[in-house]
Amino acid sequence: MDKHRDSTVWHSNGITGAGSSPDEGIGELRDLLLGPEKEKIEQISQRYNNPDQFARDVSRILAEAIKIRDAKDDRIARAIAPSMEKILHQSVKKNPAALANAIYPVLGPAIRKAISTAILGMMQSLNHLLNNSFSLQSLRWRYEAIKTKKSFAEVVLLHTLIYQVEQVFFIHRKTGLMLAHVLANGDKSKDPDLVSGMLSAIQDFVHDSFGGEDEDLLDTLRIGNSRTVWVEQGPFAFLAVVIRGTPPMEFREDLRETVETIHLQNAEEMEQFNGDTTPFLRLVPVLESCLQFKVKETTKKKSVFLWLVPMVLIIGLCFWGIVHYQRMSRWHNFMQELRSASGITITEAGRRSGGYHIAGLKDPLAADPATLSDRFGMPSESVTYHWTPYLSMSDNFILARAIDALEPPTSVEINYTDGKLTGKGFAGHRWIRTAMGIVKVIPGISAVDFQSIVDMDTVKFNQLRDRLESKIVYFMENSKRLLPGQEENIKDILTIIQEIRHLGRAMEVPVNIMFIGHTDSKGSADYNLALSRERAAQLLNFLTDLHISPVGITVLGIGESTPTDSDDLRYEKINRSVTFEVVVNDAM
Amino acid sequence: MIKKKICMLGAFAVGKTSLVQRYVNSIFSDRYQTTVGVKIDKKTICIGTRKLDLILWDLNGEDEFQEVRVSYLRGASGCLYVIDGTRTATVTTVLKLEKRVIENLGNIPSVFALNKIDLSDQGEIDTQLIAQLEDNRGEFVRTSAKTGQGVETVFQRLVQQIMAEH
Repeated sequence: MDKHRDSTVWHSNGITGAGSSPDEGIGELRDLLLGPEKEKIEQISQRYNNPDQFARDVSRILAEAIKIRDAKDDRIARAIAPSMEKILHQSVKKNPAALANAIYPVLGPAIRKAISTAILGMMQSLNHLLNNSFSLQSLRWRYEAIKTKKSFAEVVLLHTLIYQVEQVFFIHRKTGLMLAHVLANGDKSKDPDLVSGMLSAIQDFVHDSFGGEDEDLLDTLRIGNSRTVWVEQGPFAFLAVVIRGTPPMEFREDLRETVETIHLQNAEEMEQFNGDTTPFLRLVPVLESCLQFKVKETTKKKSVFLWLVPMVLIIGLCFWGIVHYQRMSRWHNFMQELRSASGITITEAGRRSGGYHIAGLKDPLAADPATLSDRFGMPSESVTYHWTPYLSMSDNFILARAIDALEPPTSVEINYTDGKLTGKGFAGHRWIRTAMGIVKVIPGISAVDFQSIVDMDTVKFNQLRDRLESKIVYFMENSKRLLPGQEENIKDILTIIQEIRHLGRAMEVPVNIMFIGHTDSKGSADYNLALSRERAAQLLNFLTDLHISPVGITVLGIGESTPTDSDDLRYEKINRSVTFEVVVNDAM
Repeated sequence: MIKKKICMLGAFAVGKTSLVQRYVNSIFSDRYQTTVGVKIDKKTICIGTRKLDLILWDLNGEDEFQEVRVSYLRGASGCLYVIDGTRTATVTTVLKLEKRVIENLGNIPSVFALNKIDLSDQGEIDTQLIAQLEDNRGEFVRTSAKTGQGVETVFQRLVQQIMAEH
């Protein structure tokens, strides 16, 4: 710059000075011809050499320049990437919290995505495994594995894999030394240093033997039908990729880009490589991105077993749960009912030997638990009972026991309250008498009141007695002959006597019927007494002829001793008669 | 990790392969030498706390029928020249090879191994020639693949030179 300025000064002098040399003439000519441009060049030069001004100029176009270049290729990104890595590295080293805070919002979703991808992969693997475990194809593959002495997994992989990158070597071209190496998960590799050297030697061998130009290098090695080694050359190093299967040609492009990227970022280290491979450890992630694989698209049909097995399990579990719940619910309800049932006291209950077991005390009159269990849907054969009999002293059981013992007719209603048994309604004389005897021995009954039970036999007996005792059989005056026209009356009397006797037997009471003869007051008293007796005897004879047994009939004459109060002739007739009286010897 | 490429050179049947066979990791068979012309082995050496992997390019023996491929020499950090102590001709071959290495790689660290010294009673090499070699070449080690004598020394001497330049 200074030199340039000096030159300018020299030219200025040359123009103004007299007697100029030929050089001065040329300078003068140059000034005349390029005067305005020279000033512009000078201005540009000043801008260029002024760092502040130059920085301002570049800042005006920097963004546009990056944009234009970015649209063209990705060299800017590649060039900046190492610096960015360094900046990030330094930032993390200096203050990890700042970067952690910055990437925190993306970490969560990224982790979730990674986990879901992993789970999806696992599900696909499981599906794949199940598909291959139960299909006919799987059997074929197993047979093939046995035949070829390969592992089953290897045979499955051979049939399902389109391609898989097994190993990636990054080899220094000049020395044949391995700079970096990665392996697909689970694979094993022979010493990669030796393999790298040999690959490099083979490259040289092939080039020396068949190659022409410098760039005519080996780029593919084929090993049998299943493996290929793709070699992608770079200026200082080459990438050798061991692939199983047939990779797509686009993968070659990926490898080329990888080699270019690595060279862009590490050209200096590779060029000056002196055997130290430590700086190339950072290439491992880049090489790992080359460990690609693709498997054949399996049919969309999911394994039936994948769904069927858990479905059956879930349905089975649900079914078992429902059945178990219902069974427990039935048992619970049954037990609740049983515990509240009168006359039953449970002392032990539970499951035993696949069935149910219940033990306790039971009144013989208590409801049969078997009928209860049926009502609650529990098969009676599934429950075993061990009952010890006892008498329940609760009111309803005492009443039930009384009813059971007394067997009352439907017309009688029996009740029990506070130790007292009461009855009402209608019943026969015999039942009432028997009941009064039985009730004394029924436990829990301290008093009995059957006053409200109407004795129907007694009522009828009394009615019959009243009817008979109202009957009068008339006799002719001063005679033991019956007045004519009394046939119906006598037939009626006969029927009543028979009914009284029948009822008396039924009631088990001794009945005596008295035929009482009467006379009017005419004649002597002794005569009348005898006549009255004859009249009664005459009537008995008459009735005996009509098949009435004289047993239990007493003939009595009372003469004129009980005349009617009136002197009326009608009453005289009444006095010439036989009347009846029914006597029961036992208290009814 | 430091790795260095070492070339082993010598005439046919001087015992290059036998010399290292017991001391290296190898995954390739000897057939490679007769087919590709090189067999690669690895020897790990410890220098203090650091480990050094020597990647040994065991080149095929040079004779009137086959030549060492120059391309195999490229990038070598050192050379191990092997002479058969019972054959004078192998000295000539080694010197020819040394010349070729210097032409291609310049003066790189190198060690000469006079092999098969266990058979020295059968030797036909002139002792004067050996003395001359010993004088001219700084590193000259007597070795025996059979007894293992000098083998470790050969590599240590070579590594010392290499690490001095590293």
